Amino acid sequence: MLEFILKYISVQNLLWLTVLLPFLSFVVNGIVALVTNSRGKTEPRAFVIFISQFSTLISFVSIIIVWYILYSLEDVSPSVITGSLFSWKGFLSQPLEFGLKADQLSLVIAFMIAFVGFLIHIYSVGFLAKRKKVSPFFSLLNVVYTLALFLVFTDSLFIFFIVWQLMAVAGYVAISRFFTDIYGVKSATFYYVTEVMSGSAFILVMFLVWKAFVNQTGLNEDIFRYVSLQVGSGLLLQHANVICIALLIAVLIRSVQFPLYIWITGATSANISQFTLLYGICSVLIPVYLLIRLNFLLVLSPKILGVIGVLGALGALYGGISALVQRNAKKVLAYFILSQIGLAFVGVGVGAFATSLFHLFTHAMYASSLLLGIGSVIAITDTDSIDVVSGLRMVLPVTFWTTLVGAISAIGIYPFSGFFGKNGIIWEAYQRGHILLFLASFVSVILVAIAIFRIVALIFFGKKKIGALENKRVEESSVSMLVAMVITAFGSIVVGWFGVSRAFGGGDHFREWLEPGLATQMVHIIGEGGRFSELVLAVIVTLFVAHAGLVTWIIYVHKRKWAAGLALRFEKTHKVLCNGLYLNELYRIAVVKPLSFINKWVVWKGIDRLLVGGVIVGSVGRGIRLLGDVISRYRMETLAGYIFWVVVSLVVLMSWLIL
Amino acid sequence: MIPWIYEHILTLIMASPLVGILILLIIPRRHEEASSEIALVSTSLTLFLSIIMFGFFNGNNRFTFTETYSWLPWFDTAYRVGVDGLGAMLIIVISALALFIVLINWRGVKVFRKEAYASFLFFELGLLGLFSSTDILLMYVFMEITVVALGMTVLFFRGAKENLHSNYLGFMSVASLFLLAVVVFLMIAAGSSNLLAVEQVVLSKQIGVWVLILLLISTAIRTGLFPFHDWTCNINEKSIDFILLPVVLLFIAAAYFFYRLLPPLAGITGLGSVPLTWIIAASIILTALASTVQRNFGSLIMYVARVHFGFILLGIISLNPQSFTGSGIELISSAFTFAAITVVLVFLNRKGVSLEQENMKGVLANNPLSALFFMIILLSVAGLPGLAQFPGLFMIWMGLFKGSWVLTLVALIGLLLITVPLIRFIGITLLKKENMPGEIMKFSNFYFLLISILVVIIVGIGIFPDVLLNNIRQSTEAAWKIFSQQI
Repeated sequence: MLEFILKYISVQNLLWLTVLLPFLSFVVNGIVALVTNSRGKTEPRAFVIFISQFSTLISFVSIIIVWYILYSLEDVSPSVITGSLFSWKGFLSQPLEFGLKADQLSLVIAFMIAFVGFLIHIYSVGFLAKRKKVSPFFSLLNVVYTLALFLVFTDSLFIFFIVWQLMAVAGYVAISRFFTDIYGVKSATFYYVTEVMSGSAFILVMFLVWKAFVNQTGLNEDIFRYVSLQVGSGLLLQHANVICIALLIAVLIRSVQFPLYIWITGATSANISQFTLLYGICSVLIPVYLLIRLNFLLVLSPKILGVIGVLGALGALYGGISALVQRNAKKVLAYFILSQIGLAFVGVGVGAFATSLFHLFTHAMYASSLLLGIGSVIAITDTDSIDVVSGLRMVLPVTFWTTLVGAISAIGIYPFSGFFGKNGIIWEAYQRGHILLFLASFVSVILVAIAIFRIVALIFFGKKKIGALENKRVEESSVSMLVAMVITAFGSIVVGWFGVSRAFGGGDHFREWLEPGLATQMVHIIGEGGRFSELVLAVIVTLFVAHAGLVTWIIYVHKRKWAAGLALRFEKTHKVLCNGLYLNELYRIAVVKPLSFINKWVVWKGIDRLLVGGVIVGSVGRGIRLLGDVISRYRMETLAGYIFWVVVSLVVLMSWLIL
Repeated sequence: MIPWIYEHILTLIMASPLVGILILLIIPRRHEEASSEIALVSTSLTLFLSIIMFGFFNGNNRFTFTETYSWLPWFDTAYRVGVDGLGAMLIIVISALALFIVLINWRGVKVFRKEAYASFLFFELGLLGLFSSTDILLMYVFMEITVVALGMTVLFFRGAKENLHSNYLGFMSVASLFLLAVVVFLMIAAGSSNLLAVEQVVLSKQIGVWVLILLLISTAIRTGLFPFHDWTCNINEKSIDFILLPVVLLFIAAAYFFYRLLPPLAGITGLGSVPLTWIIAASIILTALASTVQRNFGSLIMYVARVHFGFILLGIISLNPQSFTGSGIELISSAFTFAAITVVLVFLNRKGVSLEQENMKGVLANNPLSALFFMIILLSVAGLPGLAQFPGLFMIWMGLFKGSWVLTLVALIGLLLITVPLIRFIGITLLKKENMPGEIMKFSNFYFLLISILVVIIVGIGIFPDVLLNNIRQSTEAAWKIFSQQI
């Protein structure tokens, strides 16, 4: 079969196919959306759905084939490089090529994106069933999917930056919900501005690299290509700290990491749907992918690696704590994602790049399962408040079971995928001697277990309550949505098994596949004793997590009044946690408000209009007018004027003679 | 015949609006309704000749299509024309946009039609002359023609006495005086007004600093740089639709003059290390900060335009190949982007939509294509990669970074600040409202065609910047060679 395919299409072209087909679908659906909306015509719905599903399916299959081909090669670092689609020659002495490259690292991420992306496309068919027009939605999904894959497959920092910024525009439109509500638009505006900040930091990274490389002779390649950066990383040593700080700022904003996470809560609250999921998965995974891709840079700056670990731990804790008491399902999920990405950062910070990526790999599955499940509940009940919805497990059985599987995987119970991913991070932090990071990760995992079981228990257990739809019949989601939910739930169980470490009797295939492309000095060889410790630690963590989950389940299923009483007793603490430790408020008070005040009253009205426009220009104007009045009043034709000008002339003449 | 046209193509380009002006002045008032048709023919002819010029253009020599005719006996002053890559590009841009301005104001002038179009053609002539000249006195004359003609054009086109009023005249007079002082000084120092001779002048630091300050103040006034911007604040929203593009073209002219006169001053400016660069950077930040609180779309666009021209000046004065080339690209891409904004402003004005933030809510929401175009245009101004402004800005920042990373950071903050209100306006304008009738806010076919062409150019420059870069590089490399000698 494979030989048959390769007879007609090369691997390079297959790689192009992965991005070009969804891109084509984006263009076609975009044109359909524009034309039908402008002329008020009915859209060819079946055609729109078909091409979007078909393009992502072919793209997904192409990725699998490319992966299979590379896997079959007996090369330590197999890769496929396509030719350049077009290039920019004018910026630097070497042309900047727009081409693709697939290697071990990019294929892993691309597989995740394509798999989740394809499922979301299937899910969307049902999710958008009641919409009159679906072409704008599918067009947007296609473009996010395309850009995400382009980001992963590009082998140049410069092209990455460009596509990243374009992705921000797609995110802007998605978060604004196609500009349908003011809250969404405000969140989208805030989001886009933070993305520009991230882009600015990224530009500084590129300029620092350029400055380090620009005067070097013998560099015949595009200096922004990853391979050039890796080869010339010695030249970057001098600026390594600054480069890594700028890179970290860029990545922290994009991956919604503490303390630069502020856009995510607004964005998620404004919009939870397939876009949030696809965009959320892509936009938070890809920055971490970039960090891991540039691991050869990070290892040049151990201090910054340490900072990444600390920030990750803080993010994991903050996300976990804030998710505990939220009454809005969307916010719980937003803080949950924040916490999970924090864990991935801990992995990067301790130098366990492959483990970090493996955690994200499993996260993509259980997060999808949770988001699709709870997203369906929100869509069915038309509310995101978990106070007004409960006891849905009997009316929505498939949704309940798929969400539950996602939840169990998310909290890290054996043998679900999350177990292998999370324990990997905790173990790496422990065995590499980062005890504080280990403790923080450990605690964050328990907090997340409580938060996730709380939301599942509140929504699906207890007395049946369906928000405003009390008297209406509530039915399961459509078949396409259920199919996607079942597949992601299945994925939440199995994907972890691709990377089972040797401590659990696995072959550690995931790490073995990735490690040839990672910085060798950060790869740890673990002996037999280490494996036993890993096993013991995993058992301890699982026991804690399982108990936390169980207690939470008991409280929120059987003792809800007790939980309410606790919240009442610690009302102030509860309020602080509900408001995410008031960090958003703090940001608004400390940054936004003073800046707005200064801009309006000091810079614009004070300096610009009053000082420059009013005092300086006004005074000059008044001075000229006064001079004009004097001159016109004392004209030569009148006696007074004649005398005045004679006196003035004499004064001028005498002054000149004397001086 | 063809060799003759080839040899005199620049003169012919300049003569074409002149013919239009003469016809407009000759025709009796009772036939003045034909003024717009005459202007259309004249600007079309100019564009046609510009395209021919561009077709024949090759960057083999420093200047192509050179012509020299003795003019004044002193300082070797002559009618000297010739173009390099940047000049040729700017001529074609101006020719295209002049035709564009005539088209979007079609039948928009109700009184003094003859005078209005004659003034406008005069304005076009000034710009074309400036970009064609290689004699600094001649350049100065054309610059002044441009300034005076702009004032007259605005006056006649809208009868808008309250707009570019005495404030404009006051500021421009000071700028002219300073520029004249610079031109005269350089002519005396070089013993000639020939640009090639002036470029070779080596000035002492003591004198050179003052000449540079005068030149910078003159340019700052004409590009609306803080604190010399007050004249731009008098443009009210009723007239911004017409005034914006001509004012941006004036900004381009001023920045171009600065670009041309900087070589003899290169030795004293150094590589972006002089306080003047910091003054420009501070000016950009103050303007950008003020832009964030603008609630009127017209005012906002003026602030944003000023910030962009601040970037251009910063790029020029930083004196390195990247930022110099970047400024050249920015000059051209700004012309197209602000032309596209002009279409939006004219459209909104004709529909009677006030440009206040409150009144702009959802005005383009029900027309997806208009909304998409509006978004593309504003995102281009916000420096989104893949659109027209990005290549130039990126190269300017890159060049700045070579001298000082702090300057680059300041420039990036400037862009971030103008992005805030631009994105806010995109959101507001596209926000869907239930009761907003879609048809009312739909671009007519005519506006749609114009804006489509401009959007294609904006996206085209963003995706294929090499088209511009290849043409501009020749002139920036030549300038850089002179700078290097001076430094």
